[in-house]
Amino acid sequence: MKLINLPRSALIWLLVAITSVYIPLQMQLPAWLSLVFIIVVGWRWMIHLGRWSYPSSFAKVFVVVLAIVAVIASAEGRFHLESAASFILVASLLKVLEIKNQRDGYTVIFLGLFLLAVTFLFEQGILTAIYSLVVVWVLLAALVGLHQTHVSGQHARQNIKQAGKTSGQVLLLSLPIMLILFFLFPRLGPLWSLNLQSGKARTGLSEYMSPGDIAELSNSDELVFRVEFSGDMPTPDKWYWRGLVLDSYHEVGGVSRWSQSGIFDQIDWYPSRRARQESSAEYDYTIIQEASDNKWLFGLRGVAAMEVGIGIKGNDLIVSKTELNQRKEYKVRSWPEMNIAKQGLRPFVRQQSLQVSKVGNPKTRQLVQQIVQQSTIDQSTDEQRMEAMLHYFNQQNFSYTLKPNQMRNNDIDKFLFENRAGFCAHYSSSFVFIMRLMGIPARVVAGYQGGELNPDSGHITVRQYDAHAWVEVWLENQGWVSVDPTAQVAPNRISLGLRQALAEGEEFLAGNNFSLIKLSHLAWLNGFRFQLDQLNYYWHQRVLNFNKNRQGSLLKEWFGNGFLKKSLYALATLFCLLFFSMASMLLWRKPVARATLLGRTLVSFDKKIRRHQMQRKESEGLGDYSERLQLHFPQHALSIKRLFDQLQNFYFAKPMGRQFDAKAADEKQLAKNLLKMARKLSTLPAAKTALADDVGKTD
Amino acid sequence: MVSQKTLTSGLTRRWQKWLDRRIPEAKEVTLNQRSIFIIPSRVGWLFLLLLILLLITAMNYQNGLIYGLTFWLFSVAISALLFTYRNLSGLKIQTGQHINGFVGDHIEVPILLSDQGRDHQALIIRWSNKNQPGSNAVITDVEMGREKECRIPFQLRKRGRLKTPRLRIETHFPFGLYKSWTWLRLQTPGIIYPQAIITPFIPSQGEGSDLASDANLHIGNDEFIGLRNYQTGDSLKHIAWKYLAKGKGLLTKEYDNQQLSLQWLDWFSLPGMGVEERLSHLTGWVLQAEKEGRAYGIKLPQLEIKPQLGDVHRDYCLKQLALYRYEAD
Repeated sequence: MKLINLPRSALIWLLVAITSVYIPLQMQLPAWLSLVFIIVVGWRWMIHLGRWSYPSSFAKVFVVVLAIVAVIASAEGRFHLESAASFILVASLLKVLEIKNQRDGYTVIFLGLFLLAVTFLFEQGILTAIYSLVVVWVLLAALVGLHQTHVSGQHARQNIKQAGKTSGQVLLLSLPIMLILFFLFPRLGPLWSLNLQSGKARTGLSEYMSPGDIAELSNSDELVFRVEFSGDMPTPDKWYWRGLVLDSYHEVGGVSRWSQSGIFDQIDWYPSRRARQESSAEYDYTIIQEASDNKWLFGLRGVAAMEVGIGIKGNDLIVSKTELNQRKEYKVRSWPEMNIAKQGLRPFVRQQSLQVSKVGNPKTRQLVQQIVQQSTIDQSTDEQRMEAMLHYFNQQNFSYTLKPNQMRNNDIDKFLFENRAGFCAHYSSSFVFIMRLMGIPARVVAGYQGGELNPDSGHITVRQYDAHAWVEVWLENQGWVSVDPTAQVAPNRISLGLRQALAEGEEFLAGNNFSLIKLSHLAWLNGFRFQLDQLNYYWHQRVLNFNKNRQGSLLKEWFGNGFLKKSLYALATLFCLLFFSMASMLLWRKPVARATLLGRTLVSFDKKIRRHQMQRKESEGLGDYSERLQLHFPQHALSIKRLFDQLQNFYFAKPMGRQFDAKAADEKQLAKNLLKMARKLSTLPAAKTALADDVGKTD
Repeated sequence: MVSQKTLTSGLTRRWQKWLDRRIPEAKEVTLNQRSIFIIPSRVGWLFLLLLILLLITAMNYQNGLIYGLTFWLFSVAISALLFTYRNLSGLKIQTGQHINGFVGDHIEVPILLSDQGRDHQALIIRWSNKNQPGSNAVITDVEMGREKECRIPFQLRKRGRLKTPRLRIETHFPFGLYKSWTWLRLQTPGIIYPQAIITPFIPSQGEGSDLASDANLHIGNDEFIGLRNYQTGDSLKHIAWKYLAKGKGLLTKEYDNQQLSLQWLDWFSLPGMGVEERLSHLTGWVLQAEKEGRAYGIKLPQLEIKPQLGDVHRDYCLKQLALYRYEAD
């Protein structure tokens, strides 16, 4: 390939392109890359201005080695998506530094396109999508720039504009084909399983819970999942989205720690367990859950798996077969009122649900002792004892806060008898601890509570700050019952959400200064936020989750049975149709001015008379031609003369005073007469005319 | 047995024949689907590879946006096909100007590019003949409705009628994903004269020798006869400049040189040489005689050109030498 030096316009587009590719990635990748980026782009620009020179080959090797070492170091021994992206980015940056010719330009642009795809692995919101339209446009404009003719000065500016225009034109023109491919191109499942995932720790619930843990999530407004109910929707105080059941208690460093025991690890995969039939209220809903890197799924109480790849565990939780490395949409059905394990607990479940440390938290043990003694006198039931405990929280001046004091060693004692201020994790943790000491089976449930109902679309958005922990207690004749000790302290947390539950002076979403949610008191802004949220919801639901299943059902709706074959036919037909309409649009040229009616008629006159060798010669005037014809066809001389005189009059008469359509009528009449004459003459036998010719000659 | 070489040369010949039928020689060509070829370039194949990579990524990560990007870029590649083709389609190429020169000269062949309908960008123009030394490509844009003259460097190799190799007009615009080109057989009227070798005159054989010695005797002694009106073809040396300066018009001084300063340039006075070498010497003599302002004639086997002087005569003589025993290939 011929190496052609890069024109100025191409370089400018290239630098803009690599910058626009880098901007969204910069949030995902190590910070030092920004420095490298600025140095490289600045350096290349200085080279262009002629102030600095290209790096020497020694410097290049040095920089390459340095960059590789830095990438490996910041990967911290794990090869994940970020380090892969860093590698590609560093490669393209180093290429930018030494862009000299067209081939370097191709490398940078192709790497840029790939990096854009990598960006989509991190972020797929509608704003990202809109932004990436611009990036694609810039990248293609840079590609156009590589092929423009070298020019300088004023023309270079024109070239820059021209490249942008061409790129835009092509992209717009390509949209229809892109759309039919998007909908009709057969979607397949993953070809192989991918281990290359983002190495970033995600915010979200974890498998362990110590008091104070969930409070950290309250600073994040990150989306966890969206719910849309089909049909009835339970009241907001019932929105307890269960995610984990923490039934195993340990003390780690004097702090309680709750985790999953593992006794419920057996999973019934759909459809092995039939959806349960219950007489109580039934809710069907769809959840679109963001990537969490875990297998946990969320659902209301009394849940049932509704699709392949989802299973249900003995503790009334649903799980996915694979980790949620990508956003996942799934259907769930719930009967929140149903009785669970009403008949009694299996021994090992009972044992696990009563498991508690033998020592520690002496004051709490003393309190429990008192209540138990009191209740044996009263002959009260488990339920009454539980109520008594809830009453205790309600009465003893407990408060709800995001910033509880650090509690070490006998943390439950300290919480119950000293601080009396805590977050949901403190309340649920201490409550379960007390229940177990009383001999009532109990467990902590972690998940989310509440969510924001979008008034426009009717879906519920659950964010990290909705994270919550509550309690399930097993009672005779009732089975597992949900109890929320936090509600005793901060009823607003349950009915209105975290924001309203916070005490005066505590900041909602502290350190998250750019969140639109913080400004929800501004009505217009809040309306805008809801609309954006709705847009994003539809975007996720309709576009991003357009997968094999959705495509299948859509195509079935369009084409009916045998839709696969039919859709391929449709794809091919539409493709050809679009291609040819694009071709005719692009290649269409202004037609050459059409000959007038008379002009065309004269041509056909010529054709008809060819037999007599009497066509009009090039540059022969109408008058001369008329005379020649009269000589050749003496028997028609008179009519020929009349016709041609009329013709000449028509052509040379001034159009003064005559109506335009009158003239058009004349033209039509003349053309008709001309054709009549041609027909007449062409029927004459050639021999006879030859004779006439001879006669003419002898004259 | 047919050897590999004859087989390939046979193929080349058939290919050339096919090409001649498809894009015949012409003075003026407007490019259309008959004359435009288009195939994916190497960059185009790499782009396809990138698309496959993106598609696999989209599938494995089940990522809707990467699907979208892939499909968009694919349809861009489809549109690019049309755009690249369009960048040649409708382009009008004309030649016509006579070009004369000597073997070995580096000349520039002017061609006119134009289109009433649309712009054309980054056209790479060069001779398809790889061993043309002046095959450095000319890259140019053509603006709609404006004629653009391009001068394509060309080295004259062989005496006779000027026959340029096929002209290749190529474009990769806008994305470089496709290579679209045409091979034009353009009529470039012109005569290539033999390479001039400047050597002293050798007198013609036989009676010519008298004349020649005669001529030599009279160098510088031409007798002035009078003035006559200038005719095209008269040597510049014989123009009466003084009269012209006085505003009396363009007059030519007439000498009685037809007999006195006469030079026969004789093919047969160059024995033991090949045809080309002889022609080169004769060419050199023509130029020399013309420069010295003496009448000269040429004797070739089966052809004799009467002695005369002037640009028209010179060009005629050179043309005869150029086309002597010339076989077009």
